[in-house]
Amino acid sequence: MCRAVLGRFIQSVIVLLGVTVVTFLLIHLAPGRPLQANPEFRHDPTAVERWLQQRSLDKPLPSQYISWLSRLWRGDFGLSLLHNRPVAQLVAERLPATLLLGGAALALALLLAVPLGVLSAARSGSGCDRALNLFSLACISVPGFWYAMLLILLFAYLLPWLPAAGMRTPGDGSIQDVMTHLLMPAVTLATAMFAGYFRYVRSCVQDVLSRDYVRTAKAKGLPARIIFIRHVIPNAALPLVTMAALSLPLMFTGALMVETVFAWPGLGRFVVFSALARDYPVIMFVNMYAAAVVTAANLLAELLYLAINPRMKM
Amino acid sequence: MRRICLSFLVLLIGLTVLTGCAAGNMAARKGILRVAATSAPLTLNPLFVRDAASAEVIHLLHASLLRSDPETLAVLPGIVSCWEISGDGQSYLLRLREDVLWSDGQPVTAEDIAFTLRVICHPDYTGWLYPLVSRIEGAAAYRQNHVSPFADGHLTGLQVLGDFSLKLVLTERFAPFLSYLTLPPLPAHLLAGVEVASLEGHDYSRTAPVVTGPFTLSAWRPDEYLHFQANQRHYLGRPNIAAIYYRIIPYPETQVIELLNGRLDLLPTAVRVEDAAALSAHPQFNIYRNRRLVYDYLSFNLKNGHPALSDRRVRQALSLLPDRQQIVDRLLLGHGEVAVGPLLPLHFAYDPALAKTRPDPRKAGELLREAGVLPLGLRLIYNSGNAVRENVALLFREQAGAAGVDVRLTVLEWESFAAALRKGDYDLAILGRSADIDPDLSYHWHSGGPGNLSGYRNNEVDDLLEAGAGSHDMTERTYLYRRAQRLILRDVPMVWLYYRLAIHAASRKLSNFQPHPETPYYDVHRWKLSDV
Repeated sequence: MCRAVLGRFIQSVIVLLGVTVVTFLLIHLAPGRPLQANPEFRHDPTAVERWLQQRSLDKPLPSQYISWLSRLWRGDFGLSLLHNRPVAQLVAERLPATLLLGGAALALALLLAVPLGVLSAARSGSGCDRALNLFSLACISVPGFWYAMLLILLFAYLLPWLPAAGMRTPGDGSIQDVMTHLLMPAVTLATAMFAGYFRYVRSCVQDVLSRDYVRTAKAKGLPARIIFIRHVIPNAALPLVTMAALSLPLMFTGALMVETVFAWPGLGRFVVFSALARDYPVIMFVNMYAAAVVTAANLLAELLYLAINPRMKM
Repeated sequence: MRRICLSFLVLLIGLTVLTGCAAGNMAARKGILRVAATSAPLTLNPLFVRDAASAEVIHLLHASLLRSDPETLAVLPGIVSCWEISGDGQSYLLRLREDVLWSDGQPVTAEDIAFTLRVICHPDYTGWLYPLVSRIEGAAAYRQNHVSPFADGHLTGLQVLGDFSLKLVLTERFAPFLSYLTLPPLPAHLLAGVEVASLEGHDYSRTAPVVTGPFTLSAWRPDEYLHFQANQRHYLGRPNIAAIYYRIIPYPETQVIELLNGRLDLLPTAVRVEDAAALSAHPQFNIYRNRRLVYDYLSFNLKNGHPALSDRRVRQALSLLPDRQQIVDRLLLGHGEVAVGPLLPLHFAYDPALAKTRPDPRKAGELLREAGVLPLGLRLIYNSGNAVRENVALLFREQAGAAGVDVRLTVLEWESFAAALRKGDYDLAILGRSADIDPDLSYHWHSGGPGNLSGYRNNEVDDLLEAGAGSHDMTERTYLYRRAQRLILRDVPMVWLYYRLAIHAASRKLSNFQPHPETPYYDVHRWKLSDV
C-alpha cells in the first residue's frame, strides 16, 4: 500500500509540473500583459517599460519560467504584480471564506441529497419520487446567476431578513452575523450541487436494490429498515464517497458567480480578477494549487475506497 | 454518515469562528458612513495610482498640495496656501500652510514636497506622474543621471527656501503647471530611507500609516471592506463623520439592494442609469449628478487600420452617422450630454457656440460615394462590461448599414481590448478619454504629446497649443484653444459621442455632499450624517 501511495505521489508531482508548463504557456498566449497603460487615462509609457523591466517581465519566456521554477523550489511563490504582496499570503487571506462557503454548500447539498435520494429510490415510481425528480431537475436547470438575484430580491429586499452582500456586517462579525450572511450564497451554491448528488444517490440506491442479495434479504423476511441500513446504504455509499471526494476541489477554489453577486470575499473573485489583469504569479500559483487539490482529492478518494471496500484490499 | 455530518458541522463552526472572531461587536451606527465600491484599491500610495478604486480612496487619505474648484476647476489653495509666479512665468514660489500636520503629529514641510517631487523624477520611479513635473529644470537630468537608489540629491529647478516655502523653476513658460500640483505629498520622515524601486511594494502602499487627509485607515479586510476613522489632525478641520466603512461590493444590483435595505448610505460610483430614476423617486434617497472630465468617442485607427480611413471625407461621413442625441436620451436616459469636441463644458475655454453634429446618413452616403470607398467594411472593437458602449456599437452598426458601411463588431475583455488598441488591430474602437482640469490639449493633440496615440499631426494646431500653454492670460488661452479645437474638428481625427455624467445615490441622512468632477470625496470633512 505504501508503495502504491508513493507511486501516486510521484505521478502527482509530474502532473503538477506539467500543469505549470501548460499554464505558463497559456497565460502568455492570451492577449494583453500586466500593467497595460490604460488608454483612457494619462500615463507614462516609459514608466510601463521600466516597471516590466524591474519585474523581469521583459526577459524571454523560457528564462522567466526557469526563474519562477527556481524560486518555487526555494519556497517562494512570487509577488502579485497587482498587489505587490506575496501570492501565498493573498490566497491564504481569502481561503477561510472560500472554505466556509464551499463547506457549507457541500454539507447542505449532501444533507439533503442523501436522505431524499434514498427516499426517492425506495419509493421509485411513486408521486413522491416524481416530485423529487422534478425538483432536482429544476435545481440543476435554474441559471445560478438568475437564482442568486431572485433570492436577493426575495430575502434581502421584499422580505428584508438577510443581508445581500458581504461576509459580515462591518464592525460586527459575530458567529450569528456570519451565518446570516452565509445563508443565501450557500443555498445558491448548494442548489446545483444538490441536484447532482440527489440523482447520483438515487441511481446508486436503485442499483443496489435490484441486487440479488437484497432480494434474498427480503425473501428471508428481514424488515425493510434493516435491509436499508445494513445492506443498501453501505453499498450505495461507495460511489458517493468518490463523488464527494472529487467535489472537494470545488470547496477550495471558490465560486466566481456566487462570490461576485453576494460580494463574498473568497478565492473565486480574486482569481478571476487576477486572470483578467494578467497577474501571472497569482494565476500560476492558483492553477498549481487547484491542480494539487484535485490530485490530493483523487488520492483521497482512492484511499477511502480502499478503506471502505474490502474487495479492493485483495 | 452521522460521523460525516458531525465532522462537517464542526468544520463549519470552526470556520465561522475563524472568520468572525477578529471583529468586535456591532459598532455604534452614529456618525458612521457606509459606502460601496465595485473593487478594492490596489494601492494607498498616491504616487502609484493606476486604477479608479485607488484614485477614489486616495482622496480620503491624502490631502493635495493644491485643489480645484468643483464647478469652475479654478486652482485653489490646499497644503500650498499661496503662490507667486515670476514675471517670466517660469518660477513658482510656493508657500505652505504652517498648520498642516501628518497624522503622526509631524508638520508637513517643504522637504516633504521636495522629496515627493524627487521620487517622481527618480530613474526607478514607475508611477505615471513624471510627465506632469518633467518641465521642472533639471528633472530630465535627474531622471537620467541620478545613481543613488534613494530619492536624495539635488534637482536644480527645486529650491527649498525654508520649512514652509519652496521655489520651482521650469524650463519654459507652462500655464497648466499649477493644475498639475494637485497631487498629494509623501512623508519624507517616514519614506526617505526607502529605495525608490521598492516604494511601490512598500508597506506604506497597504497601510498608509502617516497621512494628511481627512481620514486614516484603521482596518482593511481583503475584498470585504476598509475602515477609515476621522483624522483629528486634518488641516481643514476634524471631519463631522466619525468613521467610514468602505465596502467592496462588485455587483451594482447588490449595491442598490444594500442601499435600499439601509445597509449602505452612499453609492459614490457605479449607479447605473436605469437605477437612477427609481432611486430618485424613493423618499429616502437623493440622486446627485455632476459633470466629469471624461468623454466617450469613436476612434479611427489612422496608423494601420483600413486605408479608407485616411481620407478625411470618409471620417467625416462616419461622424455624420451616430445619432448622439438619441444615445444621450435613450441609452444614457438623459444622464449625459452630446459631445462636441475635446474641450469639455467644465473647461473655461469650452466653446458653447460650437454646433452639435446632427446625424445625416444621406450626406454621409454622398461623401462615401465621392471618396469611392463603397462598399466599405470596417471592424469596430469595444470592451465588454460597459452596457452603454455595447449598445452604442449596435446602434452605430445599424446607422452605418443605412449608409452602405458594413461594420463588424468585436467585443473584447478589457486586457485584450487594450492589447488590440496597442497593436493597432482594429479599424474603429469605442473608448473613453479623461481630460485634465486645465483645458490644455497638448497631451493628446500636440504631434509630440505622449498621449497622441493616433499620430495626429497638424502644425497649426501645434503652434496654437504651444502658444496656449505659454500664456497665463485666460482670455488669450480661451481664444487659442477654441481655435485649436476648431482645426482639430475640421480634421475629424475621431468622432466625439457623449459626455457621461457621474451619478451618485445617497441617503437623505447625508448632507453637504458635493461631488467634484474628479472625485466624489471632495470636502468630505464637511459631510454630515444626521440621525433622521
